[in-house]
Amino acid sequence: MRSYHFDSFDGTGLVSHEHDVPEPGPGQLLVRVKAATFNKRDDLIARGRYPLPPRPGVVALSDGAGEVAAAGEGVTRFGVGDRVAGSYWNRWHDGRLDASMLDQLGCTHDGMLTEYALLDEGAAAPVPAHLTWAEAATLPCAGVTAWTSITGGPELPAGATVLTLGTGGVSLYAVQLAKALGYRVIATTSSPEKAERVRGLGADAVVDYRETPTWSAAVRRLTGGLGADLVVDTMGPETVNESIRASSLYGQVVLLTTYSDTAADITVAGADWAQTMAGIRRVFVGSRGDLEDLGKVVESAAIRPVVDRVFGFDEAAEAFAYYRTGRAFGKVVVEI
Amino acid sequence: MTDIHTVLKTYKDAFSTHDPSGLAGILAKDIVVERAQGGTADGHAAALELWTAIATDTGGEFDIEDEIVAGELAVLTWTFRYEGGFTRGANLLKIRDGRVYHAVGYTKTN
Repeated sequence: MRSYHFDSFDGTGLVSHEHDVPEPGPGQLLVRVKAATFNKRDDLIARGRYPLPPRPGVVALSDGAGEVAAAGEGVTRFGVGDRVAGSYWNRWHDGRLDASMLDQLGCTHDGMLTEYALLDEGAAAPVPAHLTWAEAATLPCAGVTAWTSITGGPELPAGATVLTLGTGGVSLYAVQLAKALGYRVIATTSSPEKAERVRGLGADAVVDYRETPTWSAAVRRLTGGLGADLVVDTMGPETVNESIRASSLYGQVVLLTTYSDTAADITVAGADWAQTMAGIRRVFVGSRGDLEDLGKVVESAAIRPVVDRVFGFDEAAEAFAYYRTGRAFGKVVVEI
Repeated sequence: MTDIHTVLKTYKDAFSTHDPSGLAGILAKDIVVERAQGGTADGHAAALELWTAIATDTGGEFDIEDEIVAGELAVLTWTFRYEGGFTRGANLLKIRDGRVYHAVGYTKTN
Protein backbone atom coordinates (compact mmCIF):
# COMPACT_ATOMS: atom_id res chain seq x y z
CA MET A 1 0.00 0.00 0.00
CA ARG A 2 1.01 3.60 -0.55
CA SER A 3 0.76 6.65 1.70
CA TYR A 4 1.77 10.29 1.50
CA HIS A 5 3.71 11.66 4.44
CA PHE A 6 5.13 14.87 5.82
CA ASP A 7 8.73 13.82 6.46
CA SER A 8 9.82 17.37 7.20
CA PHE A 9 8.15 20.71 7.81
CA ASP A 10 10.27 22.99 5.67
CA GLY A 11 7.85 23.28 2.75
CA THR A 12 8.98 20.05 1.06
CA GLY A 13 5.37 18.85 1.08
CA LEU A 14 4.06 15.37 0.47
CA VAL A 15 6.41 12.40 0.17
CA SER A 16 5.16 9.00 -1.05
CA HIS A 17 6.11 5.78 0.80
CA GLU A 18 5.25 2.09 0.35
CA HIS A 19 4.17 -0.03 3.33
CA ASP A 20 2.57 -3.33 4.19
CA VAL A 21 -1.15 -3.13 4.89
CA PRO A 22 -1.37 -2.93 8.70
CA GLU A 23 -3.43 -5.20 10.93
CA PRO A 24 -5.97 -3.51 13.20
CA GLY A 25 -5.14 -3.85 16.89
CA PRO A 26 -7.67 -4.03 19.73
CA GLY A 27 -10.26 -1.30 19.36
CA GLN A 28 -8.99 -0.27 15.93
CA LEU A 29 -10.51 -0.12 12.46
CA LEU A 30 -8.65 -0.75 9.25
CA VAL A 31 -10.21 1.69 6.80
CA ARG A 32 -9.86 1.42 3.03
CA VAL A 33 -9.68 5.16 2.41
CA LYS A 34 -11.64 6.31 -0.63
CA ALA A 35 -11.05 10.08 -0.57
CA ALA A 36 -9.11 12.67 1.39
CA THR A 37 -9.10 16.44 1.30
CA PHE A 38 -6.91 19.43 2.17
CA ASN A 39 -7.39 22.16 4.74
CA LYS A 40 -5.50 25.31 5.62
CA ARG A 41 -3.89 23.49 8.55
CA ASP A 42 -2.20 21.04 6.16
CA ASP A 43 -0.40 23.92 4.48
CA LEU A 44 0.61 25.28 7.91
CA ILE A 45 1.91 21.84 8.96
CA ALA A 46 3.90 21.45 5.74
CA ARG A 47 5.58 24.81 6.37
CA GLY A 48 6.20 24.38 10.09
CA ARG A 49 3.66 27.06 11.01
CA TYR A 50 1.08 24.96 12.84
CA PRO A 51 0.62 25.56 16.61
CA LEU A 52 0.69 21.83 17.48
CA PRO A 53 4.16 20.36 16.76
CA PRO A 54 3.69 17.62 14.13
CA ARG A 55 5.45 14.25 14.14
CA PRO A 56 8.04 13.82 11.37
CA GLY A 57 6.93 11.09 8.97
CA VAL A 58 3.27 11.36 9.85
CA VAL A 59 0.76 10.25 7.20
CA ALA A 60 -0.74 13.51 5.93
CA LEU A 61 -4.23 14.99 6.16
CA SER A 62 -6.87 14.93 8.84
CA ASP A 63 -9.78 14.64 6.46
CA GLY A 64 -10.76 11.45 4.75
CA ALA A 65 -13.50 8.89 4.42
CA GLY A 66 -13.62 5.25 3.51
CA GLU A 67 -14.96 1.80 4.13
CA VAL A 68 -14.16 -0.37 7.13
CA ALA A 69 -12.06 -3.27 5.75
CA ALA A 70 -11.38 -5.02 9.06
CA ALA A 71 -12.14 -4.53 12.72
CA GLY A 72 -9.82 -5.32 15.61
CA GLU A 73 -10.66 -7.22 18.77
CA GLY A 74 -13.32 -5.58 20.93
CA VAL A 75 -14.65 -3.21 18.29
CA THR A 76 -18.37 -2.59 18.85
CA ARG A 77 -19.27 0.64 17.07
CA PHE A 78 -18.61 -0.41 13.47
CA GLY A 79 -18.43 -3.47 11.25
CA VAL A 80 -16.79 -4.40 7.96
CA GLY A 81 -18.31 -2.41 5.09
CA ASP A 82 -19.45 0.56 7.16
CA ARG A 83 -18.80 4.00 5.68
CA VAL A 84 -16.81 6.16 8.09
CA ALA A 85 -14.85 9.38 8.35
CA GLY A 86 -11.98 9.96 10.74
CA SER A 87 -12.44 12.60 13.41
CA TYR A 88 -9.96 15.50 13.39
CA TRP A 89 -8.93 14.89 17.01
CA ASN A 90 -8.09 11.27 17.69
CA ARG A 91 -8.96 11.37 21.41
CA TRP A 92 -11.56 14.17 21.65
CA HIS A 93 -14.78 12.23 21.58
CA ASP A 94 -17.21 14.61 23.28
CA GLY A 95 -17.52 17.47 25.72
CA ARG A 96 -14.79 20.09 25.91
CA LEU A 97 -11.27 19.78 24.53
CA ASP A 98 -8.58 19.50 27.19
CA ALA A 99 -4.82 19.13 27.20
CA SER A 100 -4.97 15.32 27.41
CA MET A 101 -6.61 15.13 23.98
CA LEU A 102 -4.09 17.02 21.84
CA ASP A 103 -3.59 14.34 19.22
CA GLN A 104 -4.63 15.09 15.63
CA LEU A 105 -4.85 13.02 12.48
CA GLY A 106 -2.34 14.15 9.90
CA CYS A 107 -0.26 15.95 12.54
CA THR A 108 0.71 13.86 15.57
CA HIS A 109 -1.31 10.78 14.55
CA ASP A 110 -1.21 9.14 11.12
CA GLY A 111 -3.81 10.67 8.82
CA MET A 112 -5.93 9.85 5.80
CA LEU A 113 -3.86 10.38 2.62
CA THR A 114 -3.23 6.68 2.37
CA GLU A 115 -4.79 3.60 0.86
CA TYR A 116 -5.38 2.05 4.28
CA ALA A 117 -5.67 3.94 7.57
CA LEU A 118 -5.81 2.61 11.11
CA LEU A 119 -8.36 4.51 13.18
CA ASP A 120 -9.28 4.05 16.81
CA GLU A 121 -12.98 3.20 16.68
CA GLY A 122 -13.61 6.11 19.02
CA ALA A 123 -12.18 8.46 16.41
CA ALA A 124 -14.52 7.40 13.61
CA ALA A 125 -18.01 8.56 12.75
CA PRO A 126 -20.55 7.29 10.22
CA VAL A 127 -21.01 9.35 7.06
CA PRO A 128 -24.40 10.16 5.50
CA ALA A 129 -25.51 7.67 2.88
CA HIS A 130 -26.29 10.29 0.21
CA LEU A 131 -22.74 11.65 0.05
CA THR A 132 -20.13 10.61 -2.48
CA TRP A 133 -16.75 9.63 -1.06
CA ALA A 134 -15.33 12.98 -2.15
CA GLU A 135 -18.12 14.84 -0.37
CA ALA A 136 -17.87 12.67 2.74
CA ALA A 137 -14.15 13.37 3.01
CA THR A 138 -14.85 17.07 3.56
CA LEU A 139 -16.80 16.61 6.79
CA PRO A 140 -14.17 16.30 9.57
CA CYS A 141 -12.35 19.64 9.47
CA ALA A 142 -14.19 22.16 7.29
CA GLY A 143 -17.65 20.78 8.02
CA VAL A 144 -17.18 20.40 11.76
CA THR A 145 -15.50 23.81 12.06
CA ALA A 146 -18.49 25.46 10.38
CA TRP A 147 -20.83 23.42 12.56
CA THR A 148 -19.22 24.34 15.89
CA SER A 149 -18.82 27.94 14.77
CA ILE A 150 -22.57 28.23 14.30
CA THR A 151 -23.80 25.99 17.10
CA GLY A 152 -21.04 26.16 19.74
CA GLY A 153 -22.21 29.36 21.44
CA PRO A 154 -25.49 30.69 22.78
CA GLU A 155 -28.36 29.61 20.55
CA LEU A 156 -29.71 32.27 18.21
CA PRO A 157 -33.41 32.53 17.42
CA ALA A 158 -34.57 31.25 14.05
CA GLY A 159 -34.28 34.03 11.48
CA ALA A 160 -31.18 35.59 13.09
CA THR A 161 -28.46 36.73 10.69
CA VAL A 162 -25.24 34.79 10.11
CA LEU A 163 -22.40 36.42 8.16
CA THR A 164 -19.80 34.34 6.31
CA LEU A 165 -16.58 35.58 4.73
CA GLY A 166 -15.27 34.41 1.36
CA THR A 167 -15.67 31.09 -0.40
CA GLY A 168 -13.28 28.72 1.37
CA GLY A 169 -14.40 25.31 2.54
CA VAL A 170 -15.49 26.40 6.02
CA SER A 171 -17.36 29.43 4.72
CA LEU A 172 -19.34 27.49 2.14
CA TYR A 173 -20.27 24.88 4.71
CA ALA A 174 -21.31 27.71 7.04
CA VAL A 175 -23.66 29.09 4.39
CA GLN A 176 -25.30 25.70 3.89
CA LEU A 177 -25.52 24.82 7.58
CA ALA A 178 -26.79 28.23 8.65
CA LYS A 179 -29.59 28.01 6.11
CA ALA A 180 -30.46 24.49 7.23
CA LEU A 181 -30.64 25.75 10.82
CA GLY A 182 -33.12 28.45 9.93
CA TYR A 183 -30.90 31.52 9.80
CA ARG A 184 -30.68 34.37 7.32
CA VAL A 185 -27.26 34.34 5.64
CA ILE A 186 -25.18 37.22 4.31
CA ALA A 187 -21.95 36.20 2.58
CA THR A 188 -19.01 38.25 1.37
CA THR A 189 -17.14 37.32 -1.77
CA SER A 190 -14.96 38.83 -4.47
CA SER A 191 -16.72 38.48 -7.82
CA PRO A 192 -20.19 38.40 -9.38
CA GLU A 193 -19.60 34.79 -10.47
CA LYS A 194 -18.79 33.63 -6.95
CA ALA A 195 -21.69 35.69 -5.61
CA GLU A 196 -24.06 33.80 -7.87
CA ARG A 197 -22.72 30.46 -6.71
CA VAL A 198 -22.98 31.42 -3.05
CA ARG A 199 -26.58 32.52 -3.61
CA GLY A 200 -27.16 29.11 -5.15
CA LEU A 201 -26.06 27.53 -1.86
CA GLY A 202 -28.69 29.54 -0.01
CA ALA A 203 -27.14 32.92 0.85
CA ASP A 204 -29.89 35.53 1.13
CA ALA A 205 -27.56 38.43 0.32
CA VAL A 206 -23.98 38.79 -0.91
CA VAL A 207 -21.53 41.68 -0.48
CA ASP A 208 -18.58 42.06 -2.86
CA TYR A 209 -15.66 42.89 -0.58
CA ARG A 210 -13.51 44.11 -3.47
CA GLU A 211 -16.10 46.69 -4.48
CA THR A 212 -16.97 47.42 -0.83
CA PRO A 213 -13.81 47.17 1.31
CA THR A 214 -15.70 48.43 4.37
CA TRP A 215 -18.25 45.66 3.98
CA SER A 216 -19.43 46.01 7.57
CA ALA A 217 -21.44 49.08 6.49
CA ALA A 218 -23.15 47.03 3.77
CA VAL A 219 -23.97 44.30 6.32
CA ARG A 220 -25.52 46.89 8.61
CA ARG A 221 -27.60 48.26 5.72
CA LEU A 222 -28.80 44.76 4.86
CA THR A 223 -29.89 44.19 8.46
CA GLY A 224 -31.75 47.43 8.98
CA GLY A 225 -28.83 48.84 10.96
CA LEU A 226 -28.75 45.97 13.46
CA GLY A 227 -25.71 44.03 12.21
CA ALA A 228 -25.10 40.29 12.03
CA ASP A 229 -25.91 38.16 15.08
CA LEU A 230 -23.06 35.75 14.34
CA VAL A 231 -19.98 36.23 12.14
CA VAL A 232 -17.94 33.22 11.04
CA ASP A 233 -14.58 34.95 10.58
CA THR A 234 -12.31 32.64 8.61
CA MET A 235 -9.66 35.27 7.76
CA GLY A 236 -8.55 36.56 11.17
CA PRO A 237 -6.11 39.46 11.20
CA GLU A 238 -7.29 40.83 7.85
CA THR A 239 -10.97 40.87 8.71
CA VAL A 240 -11.53 40.83 12.45
CA ASN A 241 -12.05 44.57 12.76
CA GLU A 242 -14.67 44.61 10.01
CA SER A 243 -16.29 41.57 11.61
CA ILE A 244 -16.54 43.43 14.92
CA ARG A 245 -18.04 46.42 13.09
CA ALA A 246 -20.52 44.17 11.24
CA SER A 247 -21.72 42.53 14.46
CA SER A 248 -25.00 43.24 16.17
CA LEU A 249 -24.97 44.57 19.72
CA TYR A 250 -23.53 41.76 21.85
CA GLY A 251 -23.29 39.61 18.73
CA GLN A 252 -20.89 36.66 18.32
CA VAL A 253 -17.73 36.79 16.23
CA VAL A 254 -16.21 33.33 15.81
CA LEU A 255 -12.52 33.94 15.19
CA LEU A 256 -11.00 30.91 13.50
CA THR A 257 -7.48 32.16 12.89
CA THR A 258 -5.30 34.66 14.70
CA TYR A 259 -2.27 35.01 12.44
CA SER A 260 -1.36 34.85 8.78
CA ASP A 261 1.76 35.09 6.62
CA THR A 262 1.41 38.88 6.57
CA ALA A 263 0.02 39.64 10.02
CA ALA A 264 1.24 38.29 13.35
CA ASP A 265 -1.34 39.99 15.54
CA ILE A 266 -5.04 40.57 15.94
CA THR A 267 -5.89 44.25 16.14
CA VAL A 268 -9.31 45.65 16.91
CA ALA A 269 -10.07 49.36 17.06
CA GLY A 270 -11.28 50.08 20.57
CA ALA A 271 -13.88 52.60 19.43
CA ASP A 272 -15.37 50.09 16.96
CA TRP A 273 -15.52 47.37 19.56
CA ALA A 274 -17.18 49.74 22.03
CA GLN A 275 -20.00 50.27 19.54
CA THR A 276 -20.96 46.60 19.14
CA MET A 277 -19.65 44.95 22.34
CA ALA A 278 -19.32 41.79 20.24
CA GLY A 279 -18.10 38.64 21.96
CA ILE A 280 -15.18 36.82 20.34
CA ARG A 281 -15.42 33.04 20.47
CA ARG A 282 -12.63 30.63 19.46
CA VAL A 283 -13.19 27.26 17.84
CA PHE A 284 -10.67 24.47 17.23
CA VAL A 285 -12.66 22.25 14.87
CA GLY A 286 -14.71 19.97 17.17
CA SER A 287 -15.15 16.56 18.75
CA ARG A 288 -16.25 13.26 17.25
CA GLY A 289 -19.67 13.98 18.75
CA ASP A 290 -19.76 17.20 16.75
CA LEU A 291 -18.86 15.23 13.61
CA GLU A 292 -21.74 12.84 14.33
CA ASP A 293 -24.18 15.71 14.93
CA LEU A 294 -23.03 17.38 11.72
CA GLY A 295 -23.67 14.17 9.82
CA LYS A 296 -27.25 14.04 11.09
CA VAL A 297 -27.98 17.57 9.87
CA VAL A 298 -26.22 17.00 6.54
CA GLU A 299 -28.33 13.88 6.05
CA SER A 300 -31.65 15.35 7.18
CA ALA A 301 -31.22 18.58 5.21
CA ALA A 302 -29.74 16.73 2.19
CA ILE A 303 -26.74 19.05 2.13
CA ARG A 304 -24.20 18.39 -0.64
CA PRO A 305 -20.75 19.71 0.36
CA VAL A 306 -19.08 21.80 -2.33
CA VAL A 307 -16.21 20.03 -4.10
CA ASP A 308 -14.15 22.18 -6.45
CA ARG A 309 -11.96 19.55 -8.04
CA VAL A 310 -11.07 15.89 -7.63
CA PHE A 311 -7.56 14.57 -8.30
CA GLY A 312 -6.26 11.01 -8.57
CA PHE A 313 -4.05 9.43 -5.89
CA ASP A 314 -1.00 9.74 -8.15
CA GLU A 315 -1.73 13.47 -8.43
CA ALA A 316 -1.70 14.22 -4.69
CA ALA A 317 1.22 16.65 -4.96
CA GLU A 318 -0.48 18.52 -7.81
CA ALA A 319 -3.70 18.59 -5.80
CA PHE A 320 -1.87 20.09 -2.80
CA ALA A 321 -0.24 22.69 -5.05
CA TYR A 322 -3.61 23.58 -6.56
CA TYR A 323 -5.18 23.84 -3.09
CA ARG A 324 -2.38 26.16 -1.98
CA THR A 325 -3.13 28.63 -4.81
CA GLY A 326 -6.31 29.54 -2.92
CA ARG A 327 -8.31 29.59 -6.16
CA ALA A 328 -10.65 26.73 -5.34
CA PHE A 329 -14.36 27.32 -4.74
CA GLY A 330 -14.97 24.61 -2.17
CA LYS A 331 -12.87 21.58 -1.41
CA VAL A 332 -9.94 20.02 -3.25
CA VAL A 333 -10.16 16.24 -3.01
CA VAL A 334 -7.86 13.32 -3.73
CA GLU A 335 -9.65 10.08 -4.61
CA ILE A 336 -7.79 6.96 -3.55
CA MET B 1 -37.82 35.85 14.09
CA THR B 2 -39.79 33.02 12.53
CA ASP B 3 -43.45 33.07 13.64
CA ILE B 4 -45.13 30.02 15.14
CA HIS B 5 -47.33 29.32 12.11
CA THR B 6 -44.28 29.23 9.82
CA VAL B 7 -42.65 26.75 12.20
CA LEU B 8 -45.76 24.60 12.15
CA LYS B 9 -45.91 24.69 8.35
CA THR B 10 -42.30 23.47 8.15
CA TYR B 11 -43.08 20.75 10.67
CA LYS B 12 -46.21 19.57 8.86
CA ASP B 13 -44.53 19.70 5.44
CA ALA B 14 -41.70 17.48 6.63
CA PHE B 15 -44.06 14.66 7.57
CA SER B 16 -46.66 15.09 4.83
CA THR B 17 -44.11 15.27 1.98
CA HIS B 18 -41.52 12.90 3.52
CA ASP B 19 -38.93 15.67 3.11
CA PRO B 20 -37.11 16.37 6.40
CA SER B 21 -34.84 19.09 4.99
CA GLY B 22 -36.53 21.91 6.92
CA LEU B 23 -36.55 20.19 10.30
CA ALA B 24 -33.05 21.17 11.44
CA GLY B 25 -34.09 24.81 11.28
CA ILE B 26 -37.02 24.52 13.67
CA LEU B 27 -35.50 22.48 16.50
CA ALA B 28 -34.07 24.15 19.60
CA LYS B 29 -30.61 23.14 20.75
CA ASP B 30 -32.05 21.76 24.01
CA ILE B 31 -35.25 20.26 22.60
CA VAL B 32 -36.84 17.34 24.43
CA VAL B 33 -39.02 14.95 22.43
CA GLU B 34 -40.98 12.34 24.37
CA ARG B 35 -40.70 9.05 22.50
CA ALA B 36 -43.79 6.98 21.80
CA GLN B 37 -42.17 3.91 23.36
CA GLY B 38 -41.00 5.80 26.46
CA GLY B 39 -37.96 7.87 27.25
CA THR B 40 -36.92 11.04 25.50
CA ALA B 41 -34.79 12.21 22.60
CA ASP B 42 -32.76 15.00 24.17
CA GLY B 43 -31.09 17.72 22.14
CA HIS B 44 -31.02 18.83 18.53
CA ALA B 45 -29.14 15.85 17.08
CA ALA B 46 -31.21 13.16 18.80
CA ALA B 47 -34.52 14.84 17.97
CA LEU B 48 -33.47 15.45 14.39
CA GLU B 49 -32.47 11.82 13.94
CA LEU B 50 -35.80 10.63 15.38
CA TRP B 51 -38.00 12.94 13.34
CA THR B 52 -35.99 12.44 10.14
CA ALA B 53 -36.55 8.69 10.45
CA ILE B 54 -40.31 9.19 10.94
CA ALA B 55 -40.61 11.75 8.14
CA THR B 56 -38.77 9.62 5.60
CA ASP B 57 -40.78 6.48 6.41
CA THR B 58 -43.12 6.10 3.45
CA GLY B 59 -45.13 3.30 5.07
CA GLY B 60 -48.00 5.68 5.86
CA GLU B 61 -49.36 9.18 5.38
CA PHE B 62 -50.17 11.92 7.90
CA ASP B 63 -53.24 14.09 7.34
CA ILE B 64 -53.50 17.09 9.64
CA GLU B 65 -57.01 17.56 10.99
CA ASP B 66 -56.72 20.65 13.14
CA GLU B 67 -54.16 23.21 14.29
CA ILE B 68 -54.63 25.17 17.49
CA VAL B 69 -52.14 27.75 18.80
CA ALA B 70 -52.18 29.34 22.24
CA GLY B 71 -49.09 31.36 23.12
CA GLU B 72 -46.06 29.06 22.92
CA LEU B 73 -48.23 25.92 22.71
CA ALA B 74 -49.43 24.36 19.47
CA VAL B 75 -51.71 21.36 19.16
CA LEU B 76 -51.91 19.40 15.91
CA THR B 77 -54.48 16.65 15.57
CA TRP B 78 -53.87 14.13 12.83
CA THR B 79 -54.81 10.89 11.15
CA PHE B 80 -52.05 8.49 10.15
CA ARG B 81 -53.18 6.17 7.36
CA TYR B 82 -51.29 2.99 6.54
CA GLU B 83 -52.03 -0.12 4.56
CA GLY B 84 -54.89 -1.83 6.33
CA GLY B 85 -55.85 0.87 8.79
CA PHE B 86 -55.40 4.25 10.41
CA THR B 87 -54.58 5.85 13.76
CA ARG B 88 -55.70 9.23 15.06
CA GLY B 89 -53.73 11.32 17.47
CA ALA B 90 -52.46 14.70 18.60
CA ASN B 91 -49.05 16.30 18.96
CA LEU B 92 -48.35 19.03 21.50
CA LEU B 93 -45.46 21.29 20.55
CA LYS B 94 -43.96 24.08 22.61
CA ILE B 95 -42.28 26.71 20.46
CA ARG B 96 -40.10 29.67 21.39
CA ASP B 97 -37.94 31.98 19.25
CA GLY B 98 -38.98 30.11 16.14
CA ARG B 99 -37.89 26.71 17.47
CA VAL B 100 -39.65 23.70 18.97
CA TYR B 101 -38.28 23.05 22.46
CA HIS B 102 -40.64 20.31 23.67
CA ALA B 103 -42.81 17.79 21.84
CA VAL B 104 -45.06 14.95 22.87
CA GLY B 105 -47.62 12.92 20.90
CA TYR B 106 -50.71 11.01 21.99
CA THR B 107 -52.73 8.47 20.03
CA LYS B 108 -56.49 7.83 20.30
CA THR B 109 -57.27 4.40 21.69
CA ASN B 110 -60.81 3.92 20.40
